[in-house]
Amino acid sequence: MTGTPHHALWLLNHRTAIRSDAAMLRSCGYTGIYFPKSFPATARFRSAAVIPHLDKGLSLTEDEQRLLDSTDWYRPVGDEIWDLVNRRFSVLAFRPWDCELTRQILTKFDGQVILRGFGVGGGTAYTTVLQQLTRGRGLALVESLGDRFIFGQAYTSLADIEHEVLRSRSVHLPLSLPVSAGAAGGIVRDDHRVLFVCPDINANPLYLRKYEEFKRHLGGLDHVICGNQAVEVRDPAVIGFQPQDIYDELLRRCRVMFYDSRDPRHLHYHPIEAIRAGLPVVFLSGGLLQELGGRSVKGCVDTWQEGRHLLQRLASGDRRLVESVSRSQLRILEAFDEERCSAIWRDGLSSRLQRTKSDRPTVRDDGPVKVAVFLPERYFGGTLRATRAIAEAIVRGARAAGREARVVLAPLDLPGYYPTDVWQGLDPAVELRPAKWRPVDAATIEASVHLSRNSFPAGVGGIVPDDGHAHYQDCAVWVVVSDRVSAPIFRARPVVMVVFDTILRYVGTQTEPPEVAIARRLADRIAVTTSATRNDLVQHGSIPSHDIHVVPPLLPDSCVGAPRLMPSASRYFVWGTNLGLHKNHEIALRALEHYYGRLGGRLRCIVTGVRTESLREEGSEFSRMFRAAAERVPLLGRKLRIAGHLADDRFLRKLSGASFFWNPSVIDNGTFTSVEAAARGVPTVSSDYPAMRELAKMLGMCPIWTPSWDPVAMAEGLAKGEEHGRRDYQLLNAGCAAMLRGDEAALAYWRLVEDLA
Amino acid sequence: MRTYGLVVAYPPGTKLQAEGLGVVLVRLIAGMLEDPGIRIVIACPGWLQSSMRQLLREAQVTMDRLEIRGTRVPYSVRWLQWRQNGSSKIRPLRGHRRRPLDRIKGSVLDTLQQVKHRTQFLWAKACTPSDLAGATFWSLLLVPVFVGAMGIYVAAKAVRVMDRATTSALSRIARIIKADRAAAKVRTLIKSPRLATWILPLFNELQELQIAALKQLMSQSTDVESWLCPTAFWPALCKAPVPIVVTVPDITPVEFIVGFASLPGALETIVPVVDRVRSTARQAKWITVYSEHVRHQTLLDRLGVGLGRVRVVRHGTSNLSQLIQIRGTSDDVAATDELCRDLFWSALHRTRYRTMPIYEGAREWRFILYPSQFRPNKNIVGLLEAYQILLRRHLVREKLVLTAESPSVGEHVVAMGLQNDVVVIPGLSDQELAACYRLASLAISPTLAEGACPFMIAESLSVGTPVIVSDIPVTRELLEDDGLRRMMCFDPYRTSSIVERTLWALSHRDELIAAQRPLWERMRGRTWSVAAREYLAVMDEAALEWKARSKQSVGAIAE
Repeated sequence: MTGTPHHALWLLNHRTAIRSDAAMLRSCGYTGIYFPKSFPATARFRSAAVIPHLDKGLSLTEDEQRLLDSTDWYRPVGDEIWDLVNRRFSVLAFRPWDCELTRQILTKFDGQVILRGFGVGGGTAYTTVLQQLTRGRGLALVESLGDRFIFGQAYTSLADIEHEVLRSRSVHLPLSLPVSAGAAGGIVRDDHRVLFVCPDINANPLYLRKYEEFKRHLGGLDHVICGNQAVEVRDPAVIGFQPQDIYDELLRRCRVMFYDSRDPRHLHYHPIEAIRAGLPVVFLSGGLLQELGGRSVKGCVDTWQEGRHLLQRLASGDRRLVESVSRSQLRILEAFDEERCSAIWRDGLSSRLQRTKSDRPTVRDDGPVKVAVFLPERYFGGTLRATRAIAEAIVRGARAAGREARVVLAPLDLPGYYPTDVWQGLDPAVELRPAKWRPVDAATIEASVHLSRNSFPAGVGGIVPDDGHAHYQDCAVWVVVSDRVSAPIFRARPVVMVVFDTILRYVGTQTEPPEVAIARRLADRIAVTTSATRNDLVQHGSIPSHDIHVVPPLLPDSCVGAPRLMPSASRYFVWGTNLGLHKNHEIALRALEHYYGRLGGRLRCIVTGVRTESLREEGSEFSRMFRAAAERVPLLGRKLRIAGHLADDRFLRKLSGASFFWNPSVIDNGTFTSVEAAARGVPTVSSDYPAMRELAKMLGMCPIWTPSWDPVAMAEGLAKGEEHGRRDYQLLNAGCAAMLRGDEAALAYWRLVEDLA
Repeated sequence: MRTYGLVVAYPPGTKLQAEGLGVVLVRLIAGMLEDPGIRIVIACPGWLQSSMRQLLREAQVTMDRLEIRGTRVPYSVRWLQWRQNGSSKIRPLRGHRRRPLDRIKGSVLDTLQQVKHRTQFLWAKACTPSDLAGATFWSLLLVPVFVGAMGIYVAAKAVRVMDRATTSALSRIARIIKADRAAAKVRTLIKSPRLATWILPLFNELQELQIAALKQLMSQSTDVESWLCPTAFWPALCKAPVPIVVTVPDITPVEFIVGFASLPGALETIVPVVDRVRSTARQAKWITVYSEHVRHQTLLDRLGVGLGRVRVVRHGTSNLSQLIQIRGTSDDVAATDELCRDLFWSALHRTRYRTMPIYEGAREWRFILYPSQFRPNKNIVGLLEAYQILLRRHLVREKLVLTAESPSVGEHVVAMGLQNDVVVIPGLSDQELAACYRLASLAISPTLAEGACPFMIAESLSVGTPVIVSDIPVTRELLEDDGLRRMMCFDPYRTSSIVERTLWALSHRDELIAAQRPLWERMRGRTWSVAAREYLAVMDEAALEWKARSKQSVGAIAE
């Protein structure tokens, strides 16, 4: 067992809640409680506060205290913090806020985890919030904690709408009422205005609706509206936030408060405060206030009209009515009585904690982790190489971290499609197991959702990888290389998706199928290798940037080697391409036309790349454009040669002898061929786009940049490449290249999967 | 306390919130009421009263020195309004509500299911003779319950069958009616009085009657010193026996003839409106316009209106920051950004033409904003062409956010394959609009012509977002500094010019906003209360002249 007994990390800042919880925890024998020392600066945290004196009694060193104080507890935190937390605290309470932090709490904290519930409002269940935040993984994680998880509900009705996993772990941890200054002092009741509390009218649509409803139904009565207004409200009745003494004065002088919430699982503090101060509260039936007071409690009205009538009577100063309503409402306060609450806490918390002491993990399972790496599309070139590199990097990264990983590499099950040498020399820890992707029907998905506790969007078909055994469920994590899938993947295991580009944003008039977007969003984690692609994923796929992990690109073996400047005059350059729209064939051909026709280009152009032999085919768009250009500039016809797809070693030999490598693409994730070229002393003439710039910067390369849309400027770039040849450029920073092949890069890939395993 | 009047006479069914004038109207009223010695009377047809109240309420204008005087609403219009409002209120509920019969059936079946399950369980768990006896007893007890339930079920089924028979008979009749053209006209009349083109003349006649009633109402309002009609759609009002100043915003359709004439129903809608504006400009004794350009080029050169009758009163400056500016947190800037992201996120649910789902990452989107209605002079297609080049050639990260909703915009967006990058969000509230401005990398207005300097310059600068605009006469009136004009203006007729300025502005955002700050400082001094004072001065002038003329005519009669 880890953690100091009776030390609690209470990740809450709600002013009223933390006061109450601190008192209750102390009454349960907790000597040290820590509350976060900062919270997000948004209007949603208007009721939040840091109350330093609440966390007395912690036996922390100065450094530990400083570390905790400087931590943002509303964002994911580092491993050193979790080490400290596990050492120092035996209980952790939280409210679901951040996806990654919630996942960390449920997976990294070794002690008792309490989801502290005060009601979400609007009929939303915590289950929904938890599942949404964790992309459907929350319930499974909670279940895996066993009795180490408690749903600490402030009101007994909260669990009613929760999933069984939460409901069965619910413990009633009520809110107690702190002593309010409002209760003290002489009660005057000479202010006939109806007191209504409605904060953030112009900053929160929910409160704006409440305000408008109040104005529509009760605006005719004299009224005053309190509550912090983060954004100005042009209404003289709205007096905004009032200091405690002035607010207490209002509680003493007003004759009636109106409370409008009909939410059966959420209660604001102000009606309780008012009742405690002896101020009658008129409230709408059906809410939690009515449940606490019982059906016969006075002040409860069914309709706004009834409410207006009662408010008028109370505001006019009907003393007997005021007294009878106030007296009747005192029973609501019983639920908040400190002694009663503390007894409930002791019963609930201590019994549960005793039960779970033996369940706490003492030793982590450090056995080998099995990870599946999928390639779900018929990729052949760079993506195929990247898939293999990722698989091997996970193995190497795990070794560097002192763990052992085994990888199941799962390209598409297409017998004879891949050349046999593609898989030669695989790390022995990588097992090749090709996959068939099969569609799954709604009934299977529904049953799987129940079995796995994972959520899946309704009405959307899914696919699963099939290995003929158990759908790769022997692997703890699935890494899917590329987002080109035909339907969202049903995640029997956590999914890491590696995305290389969002080409359709920039080329063609086709839009991406929605299934791809859904599949991307369902992934537990998304990894990219350039910040350009991350930016594109935010803009194109609306994925939050904090969900996207940037990992270093993994250089293949072919990129190794110090640049060698070969003085021999080369007679050709290599145009690396494939059949993708982003390869920009039309503009490239126009550039070549200009290069040979106007600029007198002398070098031959060798076209090579996956499936480029089909460019020769009669009737292809490329061959039509090429013939037309060759008619205009016969030299182009003589100088351009389509070599087609070359085996790796032939291609590298061809590249080594080139004057330069040409990349006229509109966009991609940065082409590694330019790195392979640089490693052989061959410079690059490349289109200028963010990912290519990033790759060049990362590796200290200085290509000749040309705009991808301007054939004339492109041709001038080719002429410059011909003129300067292989001499004047710093081609590749070998140190940087080595880093992208080293353990550090591999470790980044291991970290991606490590804590999901 | 001096009392001034404002008069509008839009036809039935008009939602003032959706009219560009609605914004001007509330800002003007709020500006006028900033003077505690001023009281405002709004005269309008009775059918506009609730829309007017809603407009003022949403803008949080206090009503204590404001009075709305409406004419009587004809029963036909009341019925149409009731039909329109009623149907829109009732319809959404139908899909969600379960019928009472279904609810009862559901709960009865649930209970029976539970009872059946319980009985089976009793039988299944029986281990002793007493258990068997208990299960037998329980089962026998249930026989009458099942018989009763079956009875209820059969009765309910019978009711359902009858119900279906009636419904299908009715739907057969409905299908027959549906096929009939005359009936189709009746349906159109019932469902959409605003869109039925053949009913417009009826509305126009009603409107004319109402304008006559309005004139009477205005002449009876002796407490009002003078009147302002903030638009020029109703020439008849110029003949009201009261001093009345009329605003002529612009006559853009006569400058973009083909574009406006190509709009559906132009002959029935746009042409009469332009004729009415022409007629108003001819008849009005006191006119205000928003710019020197309209005063000279439109009124003098095109319509021959004497400049002596025309005063230029420019718009006040709209400071949108107060709608979103959060105060009192530990980091107000971050809190304001968060609020803006929330508002943008909620507005995004109204997005049109998108083909991909939108997730929370949309809160981080970077975008260029063009808030405008869809009109031929707004140059939306020109902007789309420029944006396509910005995205596809120059790989700008930003999306383009438009607020103009129109099928032709949608067609262009789809044809260009930009559905995922051009985001059309119609119906933004003022607060959502402010949030969009604040989050935008850049605001842009490629409009070809305007009667007034675009609001968006001030709106954008007020929340700290740089703006680039077309180089057109009304912007030249505002931008006295040539350097700044070159920096923030482009030729809206040249796509390359729009592209070049946008690229520059995106990559020199800080430099641009720094250069525009003095412009904003100058603009912010011209609040709506300043503009309102200028209107009141023109109205006072009209009142004085009216009195003088009245005295003259009384004198002439006496002589």
